[in-house]
Amino acid sequence: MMLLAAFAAGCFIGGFFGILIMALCMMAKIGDVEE
Amino acid sequence: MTRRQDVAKALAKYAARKAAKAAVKLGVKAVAAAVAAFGWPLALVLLVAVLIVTVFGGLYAAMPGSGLLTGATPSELDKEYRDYAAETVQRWNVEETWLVPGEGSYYPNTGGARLGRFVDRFGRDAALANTWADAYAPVLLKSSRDEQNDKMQDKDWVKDEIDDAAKKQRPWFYYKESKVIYSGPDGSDEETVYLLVEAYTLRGHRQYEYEWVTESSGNGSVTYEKLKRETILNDGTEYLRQFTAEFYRDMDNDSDIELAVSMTRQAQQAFNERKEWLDWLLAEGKTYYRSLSTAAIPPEYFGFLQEAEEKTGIPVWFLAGIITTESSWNPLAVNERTGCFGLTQLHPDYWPQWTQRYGFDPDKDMLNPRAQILVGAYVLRDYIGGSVDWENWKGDSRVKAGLARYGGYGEDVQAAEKYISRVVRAAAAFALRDVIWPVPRYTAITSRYGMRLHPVFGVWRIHTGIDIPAPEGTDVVSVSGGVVVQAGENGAWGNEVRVQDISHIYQYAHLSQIDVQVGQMVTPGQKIGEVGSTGASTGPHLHFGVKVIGSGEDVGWIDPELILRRW
Repeated sequence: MMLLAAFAAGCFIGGFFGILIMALCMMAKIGDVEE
Repeated sequence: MTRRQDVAKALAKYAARKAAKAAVKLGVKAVAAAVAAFGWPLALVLLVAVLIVTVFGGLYAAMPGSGLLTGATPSELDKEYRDYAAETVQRWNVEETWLVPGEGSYYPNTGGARLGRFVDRFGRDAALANTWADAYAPVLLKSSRDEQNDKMQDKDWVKDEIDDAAKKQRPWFYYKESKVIYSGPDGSDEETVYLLVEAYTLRGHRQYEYEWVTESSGNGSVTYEKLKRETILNDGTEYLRQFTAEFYRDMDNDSDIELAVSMTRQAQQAFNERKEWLDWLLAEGKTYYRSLSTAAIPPEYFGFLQEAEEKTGIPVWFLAGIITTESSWNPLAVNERTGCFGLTQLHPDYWPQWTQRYGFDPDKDMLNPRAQILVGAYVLRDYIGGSVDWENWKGDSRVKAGLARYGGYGEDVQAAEKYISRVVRAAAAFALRDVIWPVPRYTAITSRYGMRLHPVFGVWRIHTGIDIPAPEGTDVVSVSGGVVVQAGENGAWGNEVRVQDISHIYQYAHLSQIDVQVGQMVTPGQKIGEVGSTGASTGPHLHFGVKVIGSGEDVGWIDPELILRRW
């Protein structure tokens, strides 16, 4: 139970920050570097 | 950008890397502390969270850049034209909206009341109406018929033509009045609606028949006219053909009109699918010939062409014209109808005797480019018969007769006229426009194509082009002919211009100034910008790269010296 809860919490937090960071990167166009 | 700014940039990058390392260390410590304080559940939460963030990071990294799907980004001028076309088309879309007494054939009558807006109850008028692309495509095509001037830069001309195109291809809609009757326990109510009975548009000539139906639900019902049959009289090609004949006043020949109709259709379709700048312009029409230069000859075949010139006396540029017309340099090209194959599209019936005569194996050498080019040249020499003065070849009737035979028209030079003109135009383009060194008077190369230790990033990786140092502000000219497909800032490349022709994309990077716009035609020797040190660069120089078209985002780069040093 504890394992599942920890896993779910991790997914939630990771998903939240993942999407947030991705959205910020897209807005700032970071990573479009080609050399 | 100055040298000092570059140093500052490099320092900032170094600091960022150091900070990242420190952050990782701190993170590890924090996780250890958390495990000590709260035990493994929190550690698991953190671990999973980090994993998920990584997954999103991977997703983001794998996402294509914004310009990738279309291959190019439209310029400001394109946007202005598109907006203008959208506005104009919208006005003409509702010009011919007529109220008629009932079902039947009305086009091109203009009796009754003009409605001046889309009113069909089922919205079919809006679906059949024109889009900005329908008016824009023929204008673009018309501009490409002028070889000398880039008419798309002339705003007044473009807008006048958009007006003309939107007007001449406007859709015609005929509506009848109808009713929708709602009845319920408390009485009934009715509403006046309009139904499309006939549409004459670029998307077809259609007629609609209706029947009265009553649909009940619970204790209420609704009575209205429902579509019974839609008759499609044609698919609109006839309208487009009529339009084309009127729009290009100088076009009187049926096959030219047919070509323009199919090109316009393709372009309209492509624009409607949001591909803004694309291959269709390069595929046919005069623009195609303007984009040709010897740079478009793939370097892997160049030696064979020179060998063929030595052995047959037919110049490289003439053979290049034939191969461009026959196979567009596709060594695996096969004509489904005639069975002709390979670079020079030789006929399978004659292939065995020819190849044996010239020392090749009919089976093994079928798609061998050297065999294709040499045998093609020998065959052409036989067809032309005798040596030609290649300074004055255009007036020589034997060249035309030889081409007619080569094209499969036998003695009928008249019928072969179109084929001959295509070869002649391509050959003339190759003869006229030779490769030009990109930075006039500066011929040193400080870094060649191939693996090297990167001066800014400090790692071994491939250098995809050559570096030609020159003072900031030195002119950079186009090596090849072609269409500008990129002009602007592009990450570490700094200010970058990319020019595309039928075989390659030519890249000019780290420029201090750009003098061309996306969509513009350039010819060899035309100034496209000035040398600079923008992007990841340690001093003013031109990075010149060449890549094979159709290759992926970061692959397909070939050694530019193969193209620059061929004569």
